[in-house]
Order: sequence, then structure tokens, then C-alpha cells
Amino acid sequence: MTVAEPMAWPPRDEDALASALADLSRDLAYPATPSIASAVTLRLREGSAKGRRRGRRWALPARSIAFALLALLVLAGAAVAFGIVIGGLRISFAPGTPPPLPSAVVQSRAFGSEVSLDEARRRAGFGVLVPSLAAIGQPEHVYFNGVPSGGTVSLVWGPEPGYPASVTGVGLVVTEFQATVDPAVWEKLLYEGTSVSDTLVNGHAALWISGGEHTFFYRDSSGRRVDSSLRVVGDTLIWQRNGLVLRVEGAPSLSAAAEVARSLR
Amino acid sequence: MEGRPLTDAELIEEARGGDVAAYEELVRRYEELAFRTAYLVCGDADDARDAAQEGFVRAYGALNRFRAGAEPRPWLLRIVANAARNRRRAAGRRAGLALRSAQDRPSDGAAPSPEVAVLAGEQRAELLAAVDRLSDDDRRIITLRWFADLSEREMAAVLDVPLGTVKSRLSRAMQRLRAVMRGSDDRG
Repeated sequence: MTVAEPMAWPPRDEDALASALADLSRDLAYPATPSIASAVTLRLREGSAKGRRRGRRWALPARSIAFALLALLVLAGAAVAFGIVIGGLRISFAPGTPPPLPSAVVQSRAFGSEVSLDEARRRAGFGVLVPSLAAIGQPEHVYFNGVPSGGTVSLVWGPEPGYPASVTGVGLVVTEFQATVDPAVWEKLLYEGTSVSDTLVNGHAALWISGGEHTFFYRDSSGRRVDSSLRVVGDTLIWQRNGLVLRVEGAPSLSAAAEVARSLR
Repeated sequence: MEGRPLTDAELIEEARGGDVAAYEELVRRYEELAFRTAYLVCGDADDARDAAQEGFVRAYGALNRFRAGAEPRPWLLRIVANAARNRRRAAGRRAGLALRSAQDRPSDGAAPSPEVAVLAGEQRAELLAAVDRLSDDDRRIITLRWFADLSEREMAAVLDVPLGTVKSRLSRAMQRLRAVMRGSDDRG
């Protein structure tokens, strides 16, 4: 039997050096390999969906298809890893429970940079709507983020009477961005126990996501998820209106969310 | 239906027919190797992840150009390595060796394998530092060979050079590494 001997140092010849490198390689600390396969699949599916939309102009609007699919999913009670894109928003289902809560109260990086309402109006590529509801008044914080094109404006209120603090300390968030046929840049991940139902806001088709926890992401231009630890608020109303995707998050009930939604001017 | 997992070639065949799930399985098999190879090429974990993703998306688009019966591993690695190189160039930085030697393995651990050398902790650190002092080209070829454990044929695919060039470059890089370790630093 051969016995390992201490190596002459520095290595005497190329074989000894090769052997030393092989030993070293077993000991290297690589960064953990991220999950690449699912991201690739997501991009491939987005790509082919985009191709189909381009190629078939007579097809139903993507939105109608998404709603039909969503209705089917909800009927089937299927909480599967399946993404639905509405405007620039992807809604996905994830198995199990969400990861542990972030320690930060509000990770405002996902909202973008804090600006004044006037500045948000100047920078946004669309007319910014603000709730005209005496109970909540003007937004306490306004954020602007450059994605998707035209930007995203988030109006944020702290806890108010009727709008209790969410797990992250935020009372209410109204988010607005332009609907786009680009692959989803905003993403909402729904976990088990979350339900989705369709409803109407001023005659526009809307989704009410409630009951469970959901996690909120956005994707940058290279498709990478940003701030995957952000979980802002609770139940959410989402709808499209005149080319804008609008979200009200954190209202305690569908009727309260709809009230905020209807008051947008 | 038999329970045997599909071979790479079968997965590629399915993927060519538009089966994204089959392709996802193939990506899963190679994602770690692709990520580490990209990491060794571009020296940054975020860029490596993006390069690996981008490489696999591109490879999917190029599946119909993949020669049936060929080895997918070098072909995939080449596409990923290209994406990683482009990212390194775009970032305009020297691709430093960001690897560290894990400190938790005892250098005088029990029952070492008789075939390989066992280095003391400080020897590993010294060797790693020497690899880091090499030129980008030398460091890349050595890390691909010994750290990513690619065959010379795979390296030829990844680096996009003939096999003979890989052999001669690797040999010269090894000489220069020994020179760095001797302290003479005659890197020519």
C-alpha cells in the first residue's frame, strides 16, 4: 500500500504541481450555484409566448387569455408553479410557505427612489393617479422606479385607521405602471393558502388576491429577480385601466380596496 | 414505461421538438458546472449566473444546429463561456480569482487518499495566491483544467482553440505557475 507523503514544496515538477492543484480544487469555496434551470425555462416560455402574441394578431388579447387561465386555475384549486402575465405583472404560484420575513421594515429599494409627487408626475411616462379619499389623505411617501418603460410610481401610506400595519409596517401601497407586452418585470409569487378571484373596478376586469402571503419581486432588464425578500403588504387588488396596471395593496377588504381604486384621480 | 432517466441526447431530441421541460432537465444537469465555469471565466458570481442563464437560453435557440450524437457538455460549456467572456469584457475588469480556499478541512486529516498530494493549509493558500498572480490567460486555462475539471477537449471547446493549442498553452501556464511559486516570477 502506498502511503501519502508530505509534498516537497514548492512542487518539484509539473506532475507534482498538477497533483497539488487537484488537491486544492477539492477545497475551493465556490459561491453557491443559483437556480439557473427554472430561470432559463421562464425566459424560454416568456419568449415563446411573446412570439405567439406577435404572430397572431387575431388572437384574443393576452389579458383575456390570462383571465380565462386564471379562472380555470382557481376553479381547479391548482396552486402550481405556473405564471400568468397581466400587462407587465406576472403572477405565479409557489408550493409551500414563504421564506422567513425580512428584518427590514420596508426595503424601499424595490419601490425605487423616494421623490416628491411632483417629481413622480414629471418622470412618469403616464398620468399619475392619486386616491382622493379623505380617510387616507395624500400619500406619505412617493417612490419612482425606472422599470418598466415609463417607470413605476408607488404611493405609500403608513398604518392608518382602517389600514392596519402589515407585517412590514406599511399600511397601504398604490402602485402604477404602464401595461406592456414585454415579459413580466413585476412579479408576485403566491403561496399556498392564497386565493385569487376576479372582480370589477369601475367596469374594468380586476383580480383580488387575498388570504395568504405573497412575495413581491421585480425583474431587471436582464431578467434577474431583484429584492426577492420583499413582502410589502397583504391583500391586493390589481386591474388595468387605459394602458395602466394599477395595484392597491394593504386594504383590509375587497370593498375597502375598491373604494381606494374608485377614488383614483 | 421504463423508469430510466433520459440520456442527454434524448433530452436534446425532446427539446428540439419544443419540449421546454426536457430542456430544463438538461439545464439542471449542467447548471453547476456551467455556473462554475462561467465564474472562473468572469470572476463574479452575479455575472456568472447571468452568463449561465444567457448561455442556456442561446443554446436552446441553437439546438437545431447541434450535431446529433455529439457531446452536449463541451457544446453547452462553450456557449456559456462565450457569454461569460462577453460579460467580463463589458465589465472591463481584470477577472481576479475570487475563489477562496475553504478553511475547514484539516490539513493533516485522517486517511488521506494515497494517490493525491495532501497540502498543508498554508501551502494551499500559497498555491491559490500564485494562481491569482498569473496573467488572465494563464489563470483561466489552469483553473478550467484543474478547478472546473474540464478535459483538454472540453477546454478546446470552451476557449475556442484547437486541441494542440490547449496542450501547449496549458504546459506553458504550468511552467509559469511553477516559476511564480519558486519566486523567480520569470513569466516571459
